[in-house]
Amino acid sequence: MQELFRFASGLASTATRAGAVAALGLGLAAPLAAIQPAVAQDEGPIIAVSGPLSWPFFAAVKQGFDDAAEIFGVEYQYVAVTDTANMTSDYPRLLQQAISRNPRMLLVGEFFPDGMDPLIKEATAAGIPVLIHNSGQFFWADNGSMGFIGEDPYQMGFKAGEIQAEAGVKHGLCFNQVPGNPTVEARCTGYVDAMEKAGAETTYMTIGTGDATNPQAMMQAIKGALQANQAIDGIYTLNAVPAISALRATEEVGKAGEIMIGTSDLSNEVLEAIKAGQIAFAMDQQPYLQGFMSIQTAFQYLNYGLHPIGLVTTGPLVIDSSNVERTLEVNKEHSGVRGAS
Amino acid sequence: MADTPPILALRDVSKIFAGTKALDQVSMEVEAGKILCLLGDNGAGKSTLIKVLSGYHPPTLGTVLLDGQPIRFAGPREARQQGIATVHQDVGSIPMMSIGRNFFLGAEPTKGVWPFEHIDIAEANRIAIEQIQRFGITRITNGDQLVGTMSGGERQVLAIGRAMYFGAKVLILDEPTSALGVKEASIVLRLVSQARSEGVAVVFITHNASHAMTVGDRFVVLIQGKVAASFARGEKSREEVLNLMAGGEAITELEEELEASA
Amino acid sequence: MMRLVRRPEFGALAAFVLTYIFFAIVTHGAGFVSVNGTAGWMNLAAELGIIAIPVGMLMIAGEFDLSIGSTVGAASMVVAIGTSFFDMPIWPMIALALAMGGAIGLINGLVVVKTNLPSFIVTLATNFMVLGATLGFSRLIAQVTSSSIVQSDTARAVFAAKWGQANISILWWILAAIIGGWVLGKTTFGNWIYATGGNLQAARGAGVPVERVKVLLFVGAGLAAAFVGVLQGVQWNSGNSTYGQGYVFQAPIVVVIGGVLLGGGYGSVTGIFIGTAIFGVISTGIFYTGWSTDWVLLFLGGLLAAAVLANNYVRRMALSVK
Repeated sequence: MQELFRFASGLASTATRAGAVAALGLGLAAPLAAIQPAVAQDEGPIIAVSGPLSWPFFAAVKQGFDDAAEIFGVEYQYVAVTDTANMTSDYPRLLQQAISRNPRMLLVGEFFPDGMDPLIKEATAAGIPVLIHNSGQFFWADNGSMGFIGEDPYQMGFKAGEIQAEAGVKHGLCFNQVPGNPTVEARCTGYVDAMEKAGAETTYMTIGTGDATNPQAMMQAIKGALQANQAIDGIYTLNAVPAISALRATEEVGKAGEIMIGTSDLSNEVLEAIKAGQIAFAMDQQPYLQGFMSIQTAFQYLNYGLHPIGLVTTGPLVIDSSNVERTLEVNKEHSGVRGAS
Repeated sequence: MADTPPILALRDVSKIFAGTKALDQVSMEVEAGKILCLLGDNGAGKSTLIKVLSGYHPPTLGTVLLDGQPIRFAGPREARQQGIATVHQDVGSIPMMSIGRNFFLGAEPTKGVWPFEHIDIAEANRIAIEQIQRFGITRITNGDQLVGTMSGGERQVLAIGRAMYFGAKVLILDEPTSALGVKEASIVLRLVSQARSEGVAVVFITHNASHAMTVGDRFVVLIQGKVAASFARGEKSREEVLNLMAGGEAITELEEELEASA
Repeated sequence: MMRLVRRPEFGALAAFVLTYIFFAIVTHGAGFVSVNGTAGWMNLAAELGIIAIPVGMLMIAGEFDLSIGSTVGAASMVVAIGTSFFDMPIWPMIALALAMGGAIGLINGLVVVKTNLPSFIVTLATNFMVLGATLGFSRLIAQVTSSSIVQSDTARAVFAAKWGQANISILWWILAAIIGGWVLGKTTFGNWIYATGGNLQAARGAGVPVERVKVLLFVGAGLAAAFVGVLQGVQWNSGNSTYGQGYVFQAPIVVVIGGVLLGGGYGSVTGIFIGTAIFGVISTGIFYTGWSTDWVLLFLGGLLAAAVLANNYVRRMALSVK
């Protein structure tokens, strides 16, 4: 069974192109790669190892990649899993395959550092320029990559916790629909820390892995939790789909409007709910920027040797009643750019 | 007797698979109201012969005659439509289905009009039970009972009774007694002779000479795809038949060995 | 009494009663047994159940369908992209989604009967292909992988009506059970389903068109999956390519809990219905306990194992009693 999933997700990565000539050049250029324009590796592709496109979030990241690639006239390849069942082992494998193709530059979402960080070190040691985006903010400085574009999930969760605590939430529920994903878990950790710092109580809950894409199952789970613990007056969800489930759950237990709902990531439904005052806020890490700025940096670096120094933060942008109208407008005009659909 | 041709007959039938002769010039006749016993050791060609008789395989050479007329079955379905029913050793029944449902599988009695047309389970059960009781299975009275709860002999009775109920003229029984105990086998043998008395032509395939001798009218012994002997009831003793089946030597040798060691 | 015990759904019924009592006690005061709590787990079970019934009938005929998961998402996206991107009215899009579900089933069925490959593998491959095609086409056409659905009142009335907190999906579930139960238990076709899964050679020998039986059942499973995709889409106002992935294994699981033999040939729609209800009670009830949800899967798995053991025991009883 497991093998099959791996096999299937392997199909997502594009076929390996011969890069033997470039491989010879690599060893020589290695230590100075960081300051030399990548003339030595002109042959290789620019490869983006990023998130599954079935998530609207990464669809927006890819939109950013694509738009920037067109604007700057850069060619690149997007590599991701299609099946999210075994990402922990699939991502290191995809990265390994990308490295073995001797890319001119790697744009990596470091979602699973345990498996991916050693590979990134190998790549940078071999002289491949690596730029991290989305996940990996604690690792980029030590693995030889040139920088990080994205946000800190812990800080995002922390901000959400601060907003809810300030609004007077006394007992917050953090709902994690994908237990085992460290990036997503860090949001809950941040939320819990911020809430506890403000003296509020918290409950952390998860759901069976098969139900992460079943809004009905998530709604019933949240409804159950609200019934079991009547004190809960704030909910923080980590994705747009459970945000709507949470909203329906509050309606069904008769506490619509009494429980403050905040979420990470956007969808059209979430934006409409913010506009209607049913959901308080959504934390947007502006995924489009992560993709766009990665390609922009790749272009500038490969051509001129220029790149931003250190961490470039793309979020969180807090979307609430004050700016939701504009977000909805953009979302309608340029579908996919906001990661909401 | 001479006026009516045999129901089913083979004339010089050979069947060749990838250069190997599974059947070699086999001729035999199956008559109504008679039991033809087909004897032979494993690999003698009995299975191939059954498949030729029941329409699964067309013969490579030679002719199959139905009621005296040459015929080439398009498949088992056509043979079945002509009244040739085959009951296999173990594949005839579906253990997790009820007796009534098994009995009428593929020919379910229905009532009501579509979309409310449905199987008349009560009727199916009644007839199924009636039929197996007719053949001496009186222990079972509930047609909803699963076939898996029946003994091997009872299942054979169900399958044979089913074939007869649906108007079989020729009944081909593939090793119906080989997996059964003595008592069970005798029930099946009684049913076989009952089928004969109802005018059915029976082809009884077995490697058990005593079962064959008990009920058979005619006997054909197959060895390596050839008819080694063909004789009527009473013409040969059990020992002779056994020797024939085993190629004549093995059993005699074994008997001599056993006598010597005793 | 023994006759009751021997029915395939008895084990499931016993398991349901025990599970329900268990949760009624441990969630005391949290409202799990209230009208709204009951509506909650039934809403959850209904959507799974509409798919599980044809999947279970297919399993009784000896075949699996793991492609249903992606068909759910694909159907929801057909409606979403059709209504919000091409501004089509919703009903033709619903018809298109259902036709697509039926077509996926037809392809599954034809491939399985023509190649004789195990349906487990064939439909697993279809599951990936349908998901991949949905993602690919959605991105190609509309640059999205999930999208809003433009509703109509009639569509909401049929797929998303509510009485209190009970969704109309519960009625659809019951209707599916009545039709499925009738077909499997009462009709000639149902007899053929049992025979096809119970002993393929014997069924063929008795003149049952086993290939046609299997293909029709695959079509039924595809249709049901597409139906649930439409239902979820209309209910949640949005299509999503990944809707339904959880059903890939949840559907066969509830079918087996309901007393259907994994290898085919035995089971009942009543059993599948109860099996789905057990799943609904367990996977919802556990959240009403207020216990740490880190243990949910462990607990769920344990209860499922217990339910299957109970079933196995009942089936042995069924075959041992003379």
